[in-house]
Parts: sequence; structure tokens; C-alpha cells
Amino acid sequence: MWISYSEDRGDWKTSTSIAKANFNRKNLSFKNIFQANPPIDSGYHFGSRLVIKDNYLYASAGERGEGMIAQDPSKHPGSIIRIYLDGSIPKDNPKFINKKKWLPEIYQIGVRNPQGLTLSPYDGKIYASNHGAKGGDWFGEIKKGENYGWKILGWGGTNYSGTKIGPKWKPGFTKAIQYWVPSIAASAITIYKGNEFKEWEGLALITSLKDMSLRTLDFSNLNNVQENIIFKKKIGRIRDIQIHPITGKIYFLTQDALWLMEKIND
Amino acid sequence: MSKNILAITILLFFSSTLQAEEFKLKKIVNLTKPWGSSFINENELIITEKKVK
Repeated sequence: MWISYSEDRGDWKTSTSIAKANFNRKNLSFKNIFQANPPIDSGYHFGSRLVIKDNYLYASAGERGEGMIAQDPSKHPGSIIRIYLDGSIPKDNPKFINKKKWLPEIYQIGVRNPQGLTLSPYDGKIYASNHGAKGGDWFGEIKKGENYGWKILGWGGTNYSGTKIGPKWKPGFTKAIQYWVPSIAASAITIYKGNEFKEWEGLALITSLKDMSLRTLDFSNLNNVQENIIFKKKIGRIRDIQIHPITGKIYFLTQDALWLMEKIND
Repeated sequence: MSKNILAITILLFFSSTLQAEEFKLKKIVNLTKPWGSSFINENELIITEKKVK
């Protein structure tokens, strides 16, 4: 099993790190396979989500409140990481293609605090949700060697003080599929596949902290993304979402509980 | 590690229900600052919780 966590690196500094252990029910012995460097004295924006695709491990490393660090590819914070499951580095990562100045683990740069990451069972692509500042949360595809633009772009939001950041988007940067202004505090996401809610097949399910909502996104037509709020303020701040592999029923982690969502006629 | 890990056998301890138009929400178990989860088989979900200081 793999876990992403906030690691104490000493001198009040921490990092988003990834550790691996052989799964058993008695004693998990974790060993680090990745550390986001440099460690930073901050309690903010760890990202800390993982997705496994084939032999690759994708991870989100938040920018720790450091803003433009997300544009510095010689540092991990503010990026999407791709490594092999044993921690070794794929030789087709961007550094080895056309991004010589990028750290070898970095797959995409320019993110702020991606607290949702998922693999689509339909198109095999990786998708993320990301917290903007005051406004500017988004849902989008993870794209190799590209740049989501933080903190050159503001994604439609402003600093918490109200001062401007930058344009919502401009050419040269990855454009997200959906933006939220004001922020909903987008958290865990998944692309629905299952029997319980067949009408949601292929839709993105977007959960949120501040907004305490579940939303569906039909992004089959990127020029006409359809969003629906399924519920709001029913179970509190939602941190994670899982689809049962057999039944298709939906499980949520909130700030203090595990919840099940199913059809009323079950 | 700053997160604890536990395995929860699902479909136990249904203790409260909220109803909406076409679905229902059931609380399965109370937790302390959970962060992530993953099914390890069709009956068990493993969960991480943040350490309580």
C-alpha cells in the first residue's frame, strides 16, 4: 500500500511525502519512496492525493502557501508527481523529453492545492481538483509537461486580501474543464462507474469542503460542461469519495464520519 | 507518520439516515479527522485518519 502524508522534516519544516508498505493487518512498516523538496515551514496546501495507473504512481504536491514556487520546476511543491510504484523515476517523464530543467519526478507544474486526484475508468486519463485562493477552484485533466499557471494565473479568483492575482487563463497554460468562483473548496473526485446510479455513468463526481456538496459534471462536451448539485450541507465537509467496486454505491469520508449513499428503493 | 490507518468492515453500525429526493445517506461509523480511503475488497475499506494531538 502507498500513503501520501505530511512528513516532519525537522526545524518546523514539513513536506508532502509518499511511503510504501506491504499490506497486512498487524504491523505496517512504511518506507519513504518520495519527498517533496524543499521542506517548508508551513501548515498549508499539501495536496497529498495518490492515483495508481499501471505501474505508475501519480501524486499531488501542494505549493505550501509559497505561490510562485509552483512555477519553479527545480522544486517539487506546486506540481503533479509521477514515479514508478517502487519510487524509481520513469525515463519518459518531461525532464527526459523536453523539460531539462524540471526535477525528474515532476509531470506537470503550476498547481496550488490539488486535494482530488482520480483515474477515469473510461478514458484512462488522470483528473484533478484544485483549490484556488479566494475563488478559482477547478477540475481538470492532468497533462504531461504542461503548466496550470499558478501563481501567474488566478483562475478567476483573488488573493484573500482581495488583491488581484492574474487572468483566469491565457494561452500557453493548461485550461481547466470547470472553474468555481466563488470557491467551493473542491476536494475528492471520482469518475462514476457502477450500477447504483447508472444515470451518472461517466460523470465526474465532485465533493467539497466549504460548500459541503456533491456535484456531478458531464464533461463529455468540453464546450458545454453540465453541472448539477446533488446535495448540499447534508453530511458536513466531504474529504473523500469511493465507489463500491461491486454495487456502485457511494461512500464519503466527512470531517468526522464514514457515510453511505444509495438509492431510496434499495 | 501523521496519519493513522484502520480497516473498517462496511455495512455495519448504520446509526442515522438523511433522506433526499432519490437517495438516502446513512452514517456508518464516526471517525476522527479521516483523510483518505480505498477498497481492499468488496467488504472492507481502509481509511487514514489524522493523528489527534
